[in-house]
Amino acid sequence: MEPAAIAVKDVEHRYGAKLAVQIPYLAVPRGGTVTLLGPNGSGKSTLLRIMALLELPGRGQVAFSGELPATPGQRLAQRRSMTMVFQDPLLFAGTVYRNVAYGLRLRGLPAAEVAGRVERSLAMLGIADLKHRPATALSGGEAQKVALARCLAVEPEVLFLDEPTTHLDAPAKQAFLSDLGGLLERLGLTAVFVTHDQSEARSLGGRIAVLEGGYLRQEGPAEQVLRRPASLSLAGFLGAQCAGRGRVVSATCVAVNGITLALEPVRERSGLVDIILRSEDVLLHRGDEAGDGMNSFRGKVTAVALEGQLYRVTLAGPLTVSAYLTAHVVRAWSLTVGDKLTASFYPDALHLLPCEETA
Amino acid sequence: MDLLVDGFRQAVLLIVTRDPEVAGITLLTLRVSGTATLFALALGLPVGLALGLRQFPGRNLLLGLVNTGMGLPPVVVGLFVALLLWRTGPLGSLGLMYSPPAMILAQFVIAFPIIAGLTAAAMQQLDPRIRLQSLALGASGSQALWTMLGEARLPLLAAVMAGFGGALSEVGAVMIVGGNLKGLTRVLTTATVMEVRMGRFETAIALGLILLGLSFAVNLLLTMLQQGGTGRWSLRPLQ
Repeated sequence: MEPAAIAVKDVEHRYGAKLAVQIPYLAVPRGGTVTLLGPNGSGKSTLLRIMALLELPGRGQVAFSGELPATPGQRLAQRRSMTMVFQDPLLFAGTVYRNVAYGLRLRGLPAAEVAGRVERSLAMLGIADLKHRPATALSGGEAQKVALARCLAVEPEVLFLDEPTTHLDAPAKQAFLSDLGGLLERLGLTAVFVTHDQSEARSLGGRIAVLEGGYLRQEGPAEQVLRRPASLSLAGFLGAQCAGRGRVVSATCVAVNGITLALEPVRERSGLVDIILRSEDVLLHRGDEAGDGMNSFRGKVTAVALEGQLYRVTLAGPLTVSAYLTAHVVRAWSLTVGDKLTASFYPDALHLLPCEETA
Repeated sequence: MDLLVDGFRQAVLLIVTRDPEVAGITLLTLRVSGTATLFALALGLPVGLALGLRQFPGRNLLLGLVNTGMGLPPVVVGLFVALLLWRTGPLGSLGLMYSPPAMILAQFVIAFPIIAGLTAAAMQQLDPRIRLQSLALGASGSQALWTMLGEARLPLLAAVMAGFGGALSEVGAVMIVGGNLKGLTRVLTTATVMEVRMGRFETAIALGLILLGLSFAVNLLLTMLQQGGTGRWSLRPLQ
C-alpha cells in the first residue's frame, strides 16, 4: 500500500499552557484533498503549519511518504516540495512577475526557466495580462490569484491553503474556488485546505477532518462527514439540523411524534435518537403527495427568511425541518408564515444519533 | 545677505581652485563619518534585527537603552570617549586620543543607536507573516531574512541616512576627542566652528556650504539606491 503523502502521528502542540492541537493520526492521501474544517480557534491553522513544516510540534511527528525529515537539510528539501497560500495574499513589493518568480529564484533556477514557468502559471489562472502590474495595484481577487500562481509556479507536490477566500467578496470567492478545484483535479496535486465554511469544504470534495478545540472530532469522505456528523454539536457546525427526537422501533424505521419514518437499515441503534437532516435533502411541496419511497409529513410554515439568493423555509410538524425555495416559488405560492406544506425526504437522508441525554 | 553671497562665492572658489587644505578637510570628514557609519551599520543592523525580530529576556530594556542612545548629546559622547582614550584611561595605552580613529569611535557611538533603533522599528512594523510566506515558498532561514530586509529596504536605508547624518553633523564629540588639529583631525564641522570664532564668516559659510553639499551628495546616493530599487529585490539562490 502506498504511504500517505502526509501522515500526522500523535501530534500535540501548545501555546504556553493552552492546547492548540492534539491529533492522534491524520493522513493526507497522495493526489487527494483534505479539508481541515473547524470554527475559529479550533487549531486547524496550527495543524496546517505543522504539516507544512513551518512550525515544530511540541510532541509527535509528521511523515512525508513514510519518511521523517530529520536534518535541517531534509526539512528544507521537504518544504521545497510544498507551498502555501495564506488568508492574505502577502505579496512582496514589486511586480506580479517578480512575485511569481520568487520561489523559483530561491531555488536558483536559470532565468529562462523562471520566465517560462511564470508565464505558464499566470496563464493557468488566466491572469497573464497582470504580469507587469505592481503587486500593490491589484484587487483582492487578483492578488489572491497571483498568490496561488506564485505557489503553482514552483510545481509543488503538496499545496496548503489557509482560508484563502476569507477576504474575498462572494463573486471573487466563487471564482477562486472554481479555479482551484479545476487546477487540483487537472494537476493531480495533493492539497490541504483550511476553512470554517462547510460549503467550501463540500465544494472541494475529497476528505474532511473536523477539528474542535484542538481535537480531531471526525474524519472521512466529505459527503459522509457532512451527512453523517458524529455528534449533535458537529451536526450544528456542519449545517445539519436536529429535526426531532424519535425512537428506533426496528432496523428500518423510527417513530417520531406519531409518525413512522423509513430508514436505511441501521445497525447498533436503538432507543431514543436525535434525527439529523440536511436542508438540501428536504423537498417542500404544497400537495400531500410524496415521491415513491420517500418519507413525508405535513407541517406549518414558521419562518421564511432570505439567505443569499434563496429563501430558507422552516416547517414545524412531527419534525422541524428547514428547506430552501427559490424566490420564484415563494412568490408563486404566495408563501407566508402559517401556510401548510408537505416535507419529504429519502430514507438515506436521515442520520440518527443516540440521544445525548440518555446515551 | 552680502555675507552669504560672499560665502557662497568663496565656497565655489575653494572648490574650483581645489584648495588643498579644504580638500583635505573634506576628505577627512568623509572618511571619518563614512567609516563610523559603516561600523555603526555593521553592528547596528544585526542588533536592530535582533531587537526587532526576536523575543528574549531584557529585550525591552535594551530597546529602551538604544532608543535613549538615539538622542545622545555629542558633547557627552565626546567626554566619555575622551575619558576612555585619555592617557590614564582604560584604552589610553593605544594612544588614539586626538587622532581620526578616536573621532571615528566617537561618531560610531553616536550613529550606532540611531541605526540599531531605526532598524528595530523598521523590522517591527514589517508584517511577521512575510517571513512565514517566504519560508512557505521554499526559502531557507537566511533567504527569508534577506527577503525581509528587502521588504524593509525603505526604512532601513532611511536608518543609514539618519546614522550618517548624525555622524556628519555632530561637532562636540570630534572637537573633544580630535582636538581640531590642522592637517590631522580637522573636519568640516570643527573647521567651521573655528572660522566663526575667528570672525572669518565667509570661510565659515563656505565650509558650511561644502558640508551641506557633501551631506546632500551622500544622501542623494542613498536615496537613489532606496527609491531606484522600489519594487525590487534580489535573492540569493541557495548555495
